[in-house]
Amino acid sequence: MKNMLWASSIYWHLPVLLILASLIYSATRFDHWPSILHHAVRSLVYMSIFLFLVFGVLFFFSTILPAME
Amino acid sequence: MSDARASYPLYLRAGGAVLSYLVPGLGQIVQGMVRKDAHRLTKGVFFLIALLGMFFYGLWLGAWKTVFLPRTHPGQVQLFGKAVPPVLRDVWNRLPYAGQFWIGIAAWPALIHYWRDVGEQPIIEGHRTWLGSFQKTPPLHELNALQSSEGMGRLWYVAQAYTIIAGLLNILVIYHAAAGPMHPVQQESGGSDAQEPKS
Repeated sequence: MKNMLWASSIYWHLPVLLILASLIYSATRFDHWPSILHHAVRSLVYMSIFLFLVFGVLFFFSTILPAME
Repeated sequence: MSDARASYPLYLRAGGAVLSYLVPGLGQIVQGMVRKDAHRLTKGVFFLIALLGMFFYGLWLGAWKTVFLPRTHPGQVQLFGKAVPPVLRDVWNRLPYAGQFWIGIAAWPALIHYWRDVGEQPIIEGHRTWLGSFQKTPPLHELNALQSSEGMGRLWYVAQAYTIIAGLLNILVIYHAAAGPMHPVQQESGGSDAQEPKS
């Protein structure tokens, strides 16, 4: 059951969206595909770090902070 | 402005931007074909496939009910003492469409339904036959039932996110068609592929 839930998790869409957004954003900034791909990887890392930080803040306020009170 | 950017050859700027609004990447495709620029052409094809793919995947994932523009409160809304045009009021009440709109023609059926829903008589005669209920505002109970159905739930919002992100990314593509890439290849006399500036 748990495996089924994991398989159908909506969070599988997150990497797809991140990769597509990085590629399209980079393609509007550079002309050649090697540069586009290089910049897309960097954008992907930056966006992932940003989302992870947002996740950390929300997780702190929703789960850790209530448990401390 | 860098030398590369200042000397970057821009062509069909306004036309390319309009075409890229109508169909994502079409402006770049036309620019690439006119100037025989393979980079521009392949990027246009990439934009076309990626953005329309995202948009229609989001539509499909949300049971074809993620893009619509409903008519909301019939009363007048005021902003800074002035009446807000009804269409802006309705977009404000359905903000996702403000992002979806930028995908171009693919989001126009929602606008056609929006204009048709004025009064009793359809404004655009005969559209019912070819549009059907595609991007028509679903009844609230139908939308609630869809969102609470098994296997949908939060997935509907993910599906909507696909369509919004596709529309918003197309704004960058429209700008790219008009102004070129942020970091163009340095044009050198006699040389083809020169170094690209670091971002």
